[in-house]
Amino acid sequence: MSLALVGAVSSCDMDTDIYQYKDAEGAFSSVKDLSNAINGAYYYTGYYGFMGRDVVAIGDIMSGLCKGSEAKGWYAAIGSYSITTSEAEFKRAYSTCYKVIDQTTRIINNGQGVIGAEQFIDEAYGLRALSNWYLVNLFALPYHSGENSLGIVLVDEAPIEPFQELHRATVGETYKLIEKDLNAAIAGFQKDGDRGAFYMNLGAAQALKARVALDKKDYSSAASAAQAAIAWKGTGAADAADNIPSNDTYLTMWFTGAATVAESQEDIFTIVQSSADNNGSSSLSTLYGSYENTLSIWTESVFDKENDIRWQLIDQEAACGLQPMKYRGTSTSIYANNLPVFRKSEMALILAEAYAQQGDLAQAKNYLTFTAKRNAKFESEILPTLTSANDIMAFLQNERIREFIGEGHYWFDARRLGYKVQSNYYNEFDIQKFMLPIPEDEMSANVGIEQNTEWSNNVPKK
Amino acid sequence: MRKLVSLIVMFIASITMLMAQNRTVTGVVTSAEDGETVIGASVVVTGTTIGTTTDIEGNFSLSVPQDAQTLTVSYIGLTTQVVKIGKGKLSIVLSSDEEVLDEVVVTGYGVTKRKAFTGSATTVGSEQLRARADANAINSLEGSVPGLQMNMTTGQPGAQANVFIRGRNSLNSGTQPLYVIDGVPINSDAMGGGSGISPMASINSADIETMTVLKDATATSIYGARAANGVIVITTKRGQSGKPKTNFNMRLGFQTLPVFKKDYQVVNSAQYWELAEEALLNHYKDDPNRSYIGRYGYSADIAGADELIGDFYGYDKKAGIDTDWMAESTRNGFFQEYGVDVSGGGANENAPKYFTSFNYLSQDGFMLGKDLERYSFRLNLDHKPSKWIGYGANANVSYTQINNGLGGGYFSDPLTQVYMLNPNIPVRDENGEYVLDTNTDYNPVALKDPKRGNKDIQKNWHVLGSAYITINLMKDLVFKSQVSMDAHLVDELSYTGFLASEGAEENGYSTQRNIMRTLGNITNTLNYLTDFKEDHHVNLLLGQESNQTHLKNSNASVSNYPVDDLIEQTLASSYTGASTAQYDLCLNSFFANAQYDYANKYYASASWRRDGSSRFGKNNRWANFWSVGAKYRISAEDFMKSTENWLTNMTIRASYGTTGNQEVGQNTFANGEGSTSAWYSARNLYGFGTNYNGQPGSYHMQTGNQDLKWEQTNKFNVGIDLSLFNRVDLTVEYYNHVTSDMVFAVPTSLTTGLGETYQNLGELTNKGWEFQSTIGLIRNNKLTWDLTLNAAFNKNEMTKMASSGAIVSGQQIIEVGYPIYEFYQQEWAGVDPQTGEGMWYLNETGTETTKDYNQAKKRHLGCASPKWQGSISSALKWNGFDLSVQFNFATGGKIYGNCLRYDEQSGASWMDTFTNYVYDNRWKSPQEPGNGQVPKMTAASTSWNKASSRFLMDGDYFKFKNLTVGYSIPKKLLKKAYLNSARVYFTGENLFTTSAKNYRGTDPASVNAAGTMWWNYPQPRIFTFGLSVGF
Repeated sequence: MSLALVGAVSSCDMDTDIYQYKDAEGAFSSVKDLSNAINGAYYYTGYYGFMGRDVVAIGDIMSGLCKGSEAKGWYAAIGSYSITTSEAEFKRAYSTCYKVIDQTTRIINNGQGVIGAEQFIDEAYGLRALSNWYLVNLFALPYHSGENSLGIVLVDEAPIEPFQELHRATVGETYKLIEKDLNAAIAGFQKDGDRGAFYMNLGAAQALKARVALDKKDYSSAASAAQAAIAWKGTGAADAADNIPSNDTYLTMWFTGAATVAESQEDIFTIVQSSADNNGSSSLSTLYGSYENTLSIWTESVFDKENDIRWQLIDQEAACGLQPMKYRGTSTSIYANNLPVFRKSEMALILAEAYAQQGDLAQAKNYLTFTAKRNAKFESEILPTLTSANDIMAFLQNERIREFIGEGHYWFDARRLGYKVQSNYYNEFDIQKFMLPIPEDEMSANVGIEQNTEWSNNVPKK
Repeated sequence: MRKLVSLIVMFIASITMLMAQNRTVTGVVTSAEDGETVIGASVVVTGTTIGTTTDIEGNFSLSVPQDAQTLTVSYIGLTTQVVKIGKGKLSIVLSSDEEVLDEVVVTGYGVTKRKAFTGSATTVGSEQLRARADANAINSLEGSVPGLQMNMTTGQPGAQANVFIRGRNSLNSGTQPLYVIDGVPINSDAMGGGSGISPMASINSADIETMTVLKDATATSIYGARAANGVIVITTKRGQSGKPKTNFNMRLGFQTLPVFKKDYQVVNSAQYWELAEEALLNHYKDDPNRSYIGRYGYSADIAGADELIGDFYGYDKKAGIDTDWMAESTRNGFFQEYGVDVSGGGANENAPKYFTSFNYLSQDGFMLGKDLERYSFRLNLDHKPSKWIGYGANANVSYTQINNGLGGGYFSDPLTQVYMLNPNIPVRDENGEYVLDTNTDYNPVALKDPKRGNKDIQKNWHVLGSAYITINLMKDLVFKSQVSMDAHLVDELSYTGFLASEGAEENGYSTQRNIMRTLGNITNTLNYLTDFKEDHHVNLLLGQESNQTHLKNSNASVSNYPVDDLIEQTLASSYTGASTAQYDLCLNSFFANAQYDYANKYYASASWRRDGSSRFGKNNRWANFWSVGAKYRISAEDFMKSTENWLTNMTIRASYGTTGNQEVGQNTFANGEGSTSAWYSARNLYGFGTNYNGQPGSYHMQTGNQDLKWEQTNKFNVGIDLSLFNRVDLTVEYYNHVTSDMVFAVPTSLTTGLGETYQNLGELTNKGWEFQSTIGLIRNNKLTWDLTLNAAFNKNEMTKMASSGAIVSGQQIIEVGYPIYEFYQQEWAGVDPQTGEGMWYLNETGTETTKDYNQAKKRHLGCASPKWQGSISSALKWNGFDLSVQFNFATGGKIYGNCLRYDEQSGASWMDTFTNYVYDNRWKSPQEPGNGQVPKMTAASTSWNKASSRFLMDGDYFKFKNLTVGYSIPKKLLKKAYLNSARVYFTGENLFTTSAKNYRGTDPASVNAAGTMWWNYPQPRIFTFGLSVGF
């Protein structure tokens, strides 16, 4: 109580104390401030609006690979494309990605010249590129549909101010910014070093660069960037001869039985989710656990159930159906699951795709084998049947499903490569023509952002 | 016998008259309340010390000087009366203090005579408050005050009700009235997690003397900063001179689930099978390959469907299980209350006066595992040792404990589960163990198991204390200083146990919350009250106030318990979180008030207040508020003499003024973690807690706006008061509120990293009419019968907004020209009679329909706020018996049944359960199309359950709110038992509700102000028996 009774007039101090916030002025004055800010950016990257659930779940569920449970209601409507512009999941994905973009932009702007904060700036460039890549691939048409189609609102030089008039850039411009940020990140990490796989790093920046190049059908750049990412990891060449991780290690890395999750031999960039900070019941663990999201009816057909070790990562015991088992937690918390963003195996398959597209079948098979030999009969029985680039690309479609199910890649694969996808609700859906609507709340701001007018005309016909 | 005594008295009196120059006056004093004679009433010749008291029969006889004109008759608890000494025996009827209430209005920083009050206020007395068996006394205002809209979103014991006085006067800032108890502003935010404890539920309703709802500018401007939403002023009972009085109250009863429509009750097992079979077979018919029957190769008939259900969900049609989950989850909740109070004061004016009380109340909800228990203690003390100085203190200490769990509407809440769980699942298996593997993974009976179930034990210590001193600086000038402290200490342990699926996954987890919230207040006033030239009356007030709030929260979370029936955190092995946070608010004010009246005919008043609040930026911290009011009592004019015999009173009054709202940003929810702190709305802030990999993190929390300023509501009020034939009182009022500079949470592009920022934009109006009429149908010594009618009409409208566009939020829209709670959604066009599929209207207007939900445009579909609401009540008293009833009504509002999207689903949740509405009205075939609103059953995923006007209903209702029957034992009998009063009574509350034909829910009055219905805990039906005895 700081009420003071002075004579007959009492008053309290109207400049009240702030106990747990900080005034924006001077919020970025020290290395510690920037460290706090970059941690905040990672927090949002792992938040359930982004890699912690929604973006990953949209990736697998809206591409028909998995489905929501109607009884539980999580992602059921979205999976069947009974959607509107006001789906909470779309808004959360959009706003969380922009939260990361805003935060990293502030770090880049305010951190210049702060000695000791160089790595944070490099990481900020990398995280911003990552967020932009996911945003543009959710809310705009794929790159190959045309560089001039509507992309997303770009945040580059300065954070966006409230009520600033805004317009969406083109997809081409969006990719240019992603590449610019990645180049800045790569140059920075090469100079300043990085902090390993639990933070944005040189390998991760190269890995994203490989994805971007693949989208642009720039296969040689894709291959060299993927090679650079594999080299950064340093656990082998990710080719047919590479056995790191071993099959046993591969299976246990998803559930170690330990209290915390250590960096795996696969991790290039992984978001840490500990027992103390995780998304709780809003996590992927719950989604593919008690919320009963499962594989779609057709998905199990891509697995060789007897010979492929990855079938063991599908829970066949659950009453609700088949569930991906990549998020089953630690011994103390089912919610504590590291979230893989880039893995060595993805780089191997990017190489396989890049070489196949360039007609280098030998190299394509060499890298394909790194993951495909997780099926014990691959090398003896399947590999000999892959005699053309088309064969390899066709095999790759299901190989990526086997490898990445639960990690949300299929939406991006299908749109990049023009797959017609299927689910419990539809067949032959041309997903590359569809994009998520800009969330209704974003349109409510009335600052000039254009809606995706065609989204509702390109939902699957049931 | 009585006549004989009177004759003797008169005989003696006449002798006395002869013997002296005095004359003798005789009379009898009776109480208006029960017609009984009053024993021990004081009868004094006005202006002298000549007096006597009434005898056991209420008679008195007094020798008075020849020139004596009037007698003053008084008795504690009854109104003092001055009567002319006439010829013959006087018959004096004293009315109870209750009725005096109407004469006085408790307003800002004082009391004013109703006659001189130019504003708008409604007072509710203790008798009306005590008719309700509710821990929260505020709830008894429902229906009793015209223009007061109350929404009890949950009927859980001790829960907070949402109160709008004359409509919702703000969009994004505070909307709740200011509460003032005995001159002290209090914190009125619900305390603790879940639905919490309302601070008003920690006040003993038996301590309350009056509750006054102040509505217009004259009444509220003096509270400036916090008055835009009206003010509720509560006074508690105080001691009076005279010998000690003791009252004992006891009340016992029970509460039950209210009776509600069959349409909203769930189907039984046999009906479920019929619907589920139909769903599976229809699905097969429509889409054989993807249907369950087709996909898994079952035979396409009832036997096949039954087999499939058995294989997939384990339900066995032949097992004959038919669980009534509602019956299993509800009970008769016991209610008990015991109270005692003692009050009194010395024989003379300079002796201390005291009122002290103790009360125990316990209330078990009708849902399992929801209850409240309260102990409260009060001491009010006043002492005026000399003509010049006085002091006093009020202390209220209470301890309230609730165990409600999460409020109604949550998925794991028992009521929600009732509408989800399949009737083929038993509560317990053959070994007597709870069945936990249900279709929802919850078993409400297990969740509320007293030993092993979830718990949310909230303990709240509430201390409300104040002390004052008054100094008469001059004859007419009084200085008063009052210091007060309103403190809440909350200790809450909320535990999710092994019997809940999410608890089982982590071996149980819990959060311990400690909250300390204090509100300190100092008020200093100078009051000058004088009359000059006989007919001029002046009342001036000058004051200063300072008000500081401090809040501290602490949280600790753990998981992984070794056992399932001990919940202290020290047992758990994982510590998942710990935090503390503090907040401060400061408000400084200066104010003045002036009242003047001439000859009890013309009245004028004015007030001014200057407030400074820490919530605003330095640029706009201070603001001025003012009001003027006038009143004209036409009936007091000489030219109205001719109508005096029937027009007892005719007054017109008007007021205009401004009030403020400092609670900017109280009603907004920003995105995700970037939540905004309303305590520091103007500031551009970074927050913390966004940690990563064990290291601290920060984030941009809010943009702030240094130019943010007070939201202001200008209030205009005009009213007319009429009294006819001394029997009919009628008040009609019109008001117009304009809220300008409204603080808007203006949506910003999400690309800013935040979803909104505050700006002073926008304007909102509330216009309305209020009617209140009391008709004395019968009023004589034996029988009185009063009928009271209340009705209020309000129209809310957004008149200006931040940007040209509207803000669509969920199923509603904020748009210029529409009220705040305007529904805006796809309009359901019913069911295609040929196919049984759902349809919506395609365009914003017109009758063209579509079966593609994504193509249907949204439409304006009406507003949640009722247009008219009010009550009809009747009070009858006869020979010691009393009977009162109250009916509440509301009409013109809409309710959106958000829960009906699940409860009435036709589609993929066919393994849950259904309501009777679906069973009775569904489309079966073109020949049996049902009511045209419920689509066919199917097991396929459909969009028919998506938000649309299919679930939008009329919120009209007429509710039998209260019935009280009592009997007061005649004083004559009581005398023999040395008692002053004794009454036995019965009350029934919420006895039945009639609702609109299309309404499907438990109670249209238990829905939030936005008209969005979830699985709300309805207002209970309560029966109690009471006894009150006075010594």
